[in-house]
Amino acid sequence: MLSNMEKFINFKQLNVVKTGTSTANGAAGLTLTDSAALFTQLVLPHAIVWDRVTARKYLVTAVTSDTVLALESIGVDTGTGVPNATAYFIYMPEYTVRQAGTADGTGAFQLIDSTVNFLTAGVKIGDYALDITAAVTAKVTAVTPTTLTVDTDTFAGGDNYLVYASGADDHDVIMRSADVADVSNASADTSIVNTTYEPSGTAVMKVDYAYSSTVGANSDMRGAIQDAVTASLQTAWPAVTYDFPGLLNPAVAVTNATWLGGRDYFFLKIQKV
Amino acid sequence: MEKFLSIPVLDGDNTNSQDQLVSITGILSIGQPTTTTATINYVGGKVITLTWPTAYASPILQEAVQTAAMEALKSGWTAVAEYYAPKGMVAGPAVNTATEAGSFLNVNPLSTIAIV
Repeated sequence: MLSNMEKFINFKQLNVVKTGTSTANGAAGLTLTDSAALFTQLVLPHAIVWDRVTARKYLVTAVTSDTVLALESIGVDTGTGVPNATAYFIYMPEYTVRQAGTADGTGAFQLIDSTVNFLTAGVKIGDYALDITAAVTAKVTAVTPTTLTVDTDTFAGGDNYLVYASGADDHDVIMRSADVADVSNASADTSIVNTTYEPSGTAVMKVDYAYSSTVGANSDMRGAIQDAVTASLQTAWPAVTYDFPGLLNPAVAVTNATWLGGRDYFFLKIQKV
Repeated sequence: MEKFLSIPVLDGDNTNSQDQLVSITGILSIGQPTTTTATINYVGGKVITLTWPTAYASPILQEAVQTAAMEALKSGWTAVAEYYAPKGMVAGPAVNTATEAGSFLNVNPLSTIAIV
């Protein structure tokens, strides 16, 4: 019988905003190509691409077209681009897309789309509206169901647009911190930490993550999760959950310094295995 | 300390709903494998699957169950079973106790609660 208090670590796991399969070889070219995708209305620079076959991870450096993304390798296991016929996931660590589409009206300092409801889509004053056609970004100053007022007069009927908010597109995922038997690095991957539980030893939680740098040690994340386990157990009831406080990549030298400082990290999938 | 969520679920003849206890002691993690199901994974290996009658994009159901479970664990020890109205359910009146005691005319309770 378990007799420990119920305690959990709360992680911020990024949401998968796009899944797909590549349709051309991006290896060596540091690209992802998917002829069925509409990247311009889903993805912004600094998005993360996870090659689900080779497990390599990338930051998006540019949305080249509707079907092509330019990439920068992240993580210790560096990649050269997403090969052909490879499944991928995309995440948004800096922004959350609220709505995308094509404007069907023209008004001064307005984005008009009668086919959507910006209010129910969660658009708020202060969000950003990207005029994809004109390559201009404006700030939202007022919201009605079908019309956004913006601070730059750029939108015309027929323009493709993307409305987004600052902040990661993520959600809370809890992981038990009581009854932990072991926290260890996965032997075959440099960005996986496994937590094993008593009493059976067969219950394991797997944390897939990535650094924005290509330099880093898996043991650093293991240490951070161990610290979170002990810290959560030290909190008094009724603090059942303990928010993972984060870990800045402590490597002496980091790469990709222009991309999220090179020291950031992202939780991509936390699951029972 | 034993804690439970008490969740309305369709009864055996799929007409009314009755409240069923689901343990929130020993939870390892909570997931949402499909748009209509959330799973509670226990450290001992058991898995309870909650099935909704309507679809919600992930992680809506996962977060709803997480929130309910964590809030229930924060309550005092005498609150052993905390009522959880599943997302999308509209509470209805009790069925005539003379004919079907413990049943309710809820709209959109859970379809099933299953353990493996």
